[in-house]
Amino acid sequence: MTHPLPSSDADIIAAIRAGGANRTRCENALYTEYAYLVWRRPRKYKLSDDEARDAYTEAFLAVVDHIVTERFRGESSIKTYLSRIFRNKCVDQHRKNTTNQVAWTETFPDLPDTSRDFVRQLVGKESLEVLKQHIARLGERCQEILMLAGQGYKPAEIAEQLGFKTAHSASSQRYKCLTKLKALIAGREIFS
Amino acid sequence: MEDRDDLTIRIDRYLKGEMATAEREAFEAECKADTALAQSLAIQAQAEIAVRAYAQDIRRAELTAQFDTLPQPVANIRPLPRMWPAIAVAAAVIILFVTFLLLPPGSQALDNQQLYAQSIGERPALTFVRTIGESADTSAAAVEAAAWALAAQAYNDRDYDAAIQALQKMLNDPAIDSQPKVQFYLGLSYLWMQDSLDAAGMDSEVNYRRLGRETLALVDSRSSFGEKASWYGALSLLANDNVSQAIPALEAIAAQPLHYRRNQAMKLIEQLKLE
Repeated sequence: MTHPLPSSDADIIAAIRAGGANRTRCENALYTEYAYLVWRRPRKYKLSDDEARDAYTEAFLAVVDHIVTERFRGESSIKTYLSRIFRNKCVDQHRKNTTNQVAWTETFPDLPDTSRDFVRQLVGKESLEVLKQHIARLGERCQEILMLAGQGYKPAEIAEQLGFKTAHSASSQRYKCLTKLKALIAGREIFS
Repeated sequence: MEDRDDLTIRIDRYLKGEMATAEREAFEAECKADTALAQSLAIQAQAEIAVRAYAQDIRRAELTAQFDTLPQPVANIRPLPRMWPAIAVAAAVIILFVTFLLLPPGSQALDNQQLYAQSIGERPALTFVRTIGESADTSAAAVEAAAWALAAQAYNDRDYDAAIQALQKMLNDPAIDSQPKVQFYLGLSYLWMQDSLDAAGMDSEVNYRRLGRETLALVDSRSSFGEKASWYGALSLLANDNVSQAIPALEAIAAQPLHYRRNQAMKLIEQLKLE
């Protein structure tokens, strides 16, 4: 069951940025609110209902990420912004441009461009599917912690969700999980 | 030697942008000098990428499952007819025409959008001539003809998305001789794409009109497409209400005695200066 959406864009943005369970509820309500865009999609791209649904979901995830990383500055309404990105995702689907390429700007949004380039040169071309398979080899607890961290939840929110006593405990556990994941990755040939 | 967890924390601070500039630069210098540290950074960056992708996969699945529980369609929306962009443009042209007829001469000037639509008139079609057997290298001619056939079909069908794709492939392709022609029709395709979006009231993250203008500016002025490119480039400024730049662009056209749009440019300048 979805909860009612906050009444203004400012409230929605604040709720998403605040994080935690409230963020998830707000996201779910927002997703339902504009799901009709799938049925109003540009017909010329000849997308099936499933492809359009997937394009909408990708657009929605991008918008949430932009809200969290403050890339979305509220210069247009959330609806306009989402519509615009949805249209572009429809174009991508139409051109079969959806790949497993990594969006560097979204993964390390707080690094300056020069540092991002520096890291990119070190990492080379990675296979995302191979990298994700390593996560499956971690224990369930690590998977839960990393999943929440990957979705942008702060240590305090992770602590609340998973029952840690303090944010620091959640943070420490995250580092331990990350160290384990690094060890798994290092066990394979990484540099191309 | 740094503890493994301490190293993870330190690299985490770097990747999160939490290091001050001096500290970050020192860290990068250390990585350049220490292969093991650089490798650890690379691995942790890959770990972060994987974690993010994994988290997105889960969230994607949750949202998709949520979507599948929604009633369809969610709102009572009828699909729009396929020809709506053409219908919208045709309606705009008819309204402009009627307005022009009803307004007495010398009365309220047309606004920039109206002047733009009036000046564009009929969009130039994309035609091409096959030269089979004339060229010494017929395979190259056949390749070029095939590329033009594809681009022309899309462009003339007003499928500007497909036209843009086809023409972009031809751009800077050494097999395609007539680059000014490619640039010209690519520039036009961008402009018509923006017109379609505007007519439909749709926003786009891509500024097609600016792309169109920039592409048209690349056309060699000495080529047979040079004059046309300058004309449509000037009009694109008008479409953006950028009169302060449109007038000089039109004056540059008017200053060329043999320019094919010299008279229209002069008339347009007069109308713009009335505003």
